[in-house]
Amino acid sequence: MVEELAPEEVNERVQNGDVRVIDTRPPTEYEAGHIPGAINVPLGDLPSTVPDIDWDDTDVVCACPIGQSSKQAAMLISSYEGVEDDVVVASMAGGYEEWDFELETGAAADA
Amino acid sequence: MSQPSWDDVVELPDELDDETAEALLEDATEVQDMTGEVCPYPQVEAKKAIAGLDAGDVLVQETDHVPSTENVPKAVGDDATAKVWKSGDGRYRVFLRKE
Repeated sequence: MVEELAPEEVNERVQNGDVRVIDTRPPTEYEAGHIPGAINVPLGDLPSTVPDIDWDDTDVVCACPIGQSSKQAAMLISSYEGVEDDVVVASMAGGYEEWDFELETGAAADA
Repeated sequence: MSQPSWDDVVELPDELDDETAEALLEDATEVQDMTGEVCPYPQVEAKKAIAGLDAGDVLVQETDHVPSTENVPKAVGDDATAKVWKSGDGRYRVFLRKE
């Protein structure tokens, strides 16, 4: 089962700087507004991109439009050997539809 | 380290063989080409189409997005029975028979 974090908790952890956000939406949606510091990895690119990301011991949360495919993204990332077992890879419940906090605009930050 | 795969994490519906899928496609009531489309658009379009069908009618969604093969059936829930056909080269057809 994938752990789900409420947007409030994601926002708190983003402010604390102790979570990494993977935004799985298309670039156009990401650039229009994303969670501050989120990395954009469109869902279709995730399998080929995951090995290129420098994973560390920071927990991860995946964010998508409605909080459904982000669960699949979280499972995929967790299944990768390069991600430690004790790293929590979660999904943001409700997705961006439920996000009422600050958004950043502009092109993708490097993974 | 090997690249992760959707096949390891996505729960596909029961799979159809080529012959059955071909026959079902020919009798389909509606076919939606969702190639290149990602969540949540395929789910929304499937739910809309299923709502307008009669019991026994079949909606087919063509896609190249593996997660949709799980998300679309989940989105229509008990309103339809789902099966999937895999081309083997990255194309999928989700068959949804209205209950």
